[in-house]
Amino acid sequence: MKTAFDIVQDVRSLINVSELLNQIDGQIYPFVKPSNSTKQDITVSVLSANNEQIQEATVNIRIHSPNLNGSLPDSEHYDKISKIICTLTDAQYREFFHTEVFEPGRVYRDENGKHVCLVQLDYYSIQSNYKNI
Amino acid sequence: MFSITPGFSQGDLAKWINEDVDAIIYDMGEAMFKAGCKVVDLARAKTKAEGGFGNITWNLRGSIGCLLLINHRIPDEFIYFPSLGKGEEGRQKGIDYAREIALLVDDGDPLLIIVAGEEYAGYVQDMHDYDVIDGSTKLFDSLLKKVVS
Repeated sequence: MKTAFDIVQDVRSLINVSELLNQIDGQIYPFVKPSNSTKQDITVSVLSANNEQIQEATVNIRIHSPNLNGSLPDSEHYDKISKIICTLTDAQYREFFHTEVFEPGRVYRDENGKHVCLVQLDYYSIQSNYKNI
Repeated sequence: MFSITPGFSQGDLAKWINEDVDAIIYDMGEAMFKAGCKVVDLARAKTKAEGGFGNITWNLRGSIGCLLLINHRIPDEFIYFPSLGKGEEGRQKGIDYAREIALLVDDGDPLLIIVAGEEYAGYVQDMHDYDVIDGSTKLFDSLLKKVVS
């Protein structure tokens, strides 16, 4: 069975590459980013996962970037980064998992006026030790 | 020599087959609805400590429900949005939203629609990783197998 930590590690391995890292001044964090970070960070977290033989999970990749002029979303950055992430994660077949882009990029404004762009993935993994058989 | 005269027509045969097919479709729809109700119960029962969301107004929890669209209709017995005693506004939003979706996607086939009708349901899932219905709907296939077996 893949835990949420395994799933995050799998997805992070897809995007933790220079093609993406060269485009941000922050880092890619599992689950949450440091609350005091004002850099262009990315977080990878798991919304839900089941424990079926073909294990399914929903993975949230959030692209963070400081607002422009204090209140406007950095649309250019979100556009560029979400496209790179989609290219790196859509229809990816690895030895033990598979990912598909479900939501290619949606911008949210949080309660503090900061903006975040979400790329959401469907994640699948065949459990070789299903029910410990 | 003898002759056999059937006591039924080709039209009768077609009618009986259609009735049987309709009954099978209805039974399958009913099974889908029962599995959908279990998904709804699981989603509503998930607490914040279990990765779900908290209850400030109960509207989000109340807005989770399902309905079955069958033969272009939504029979009352196939609407499942049980009252929680609180969050009635959310519950009504859920029913309205599910009906709206049903109108949009109706193509004649039986359709089970499971929703969280509050507009911020997606926000808490996407921004805070609070599971509203995403995790429970992943269990639908296995729940359906249990219902039909």
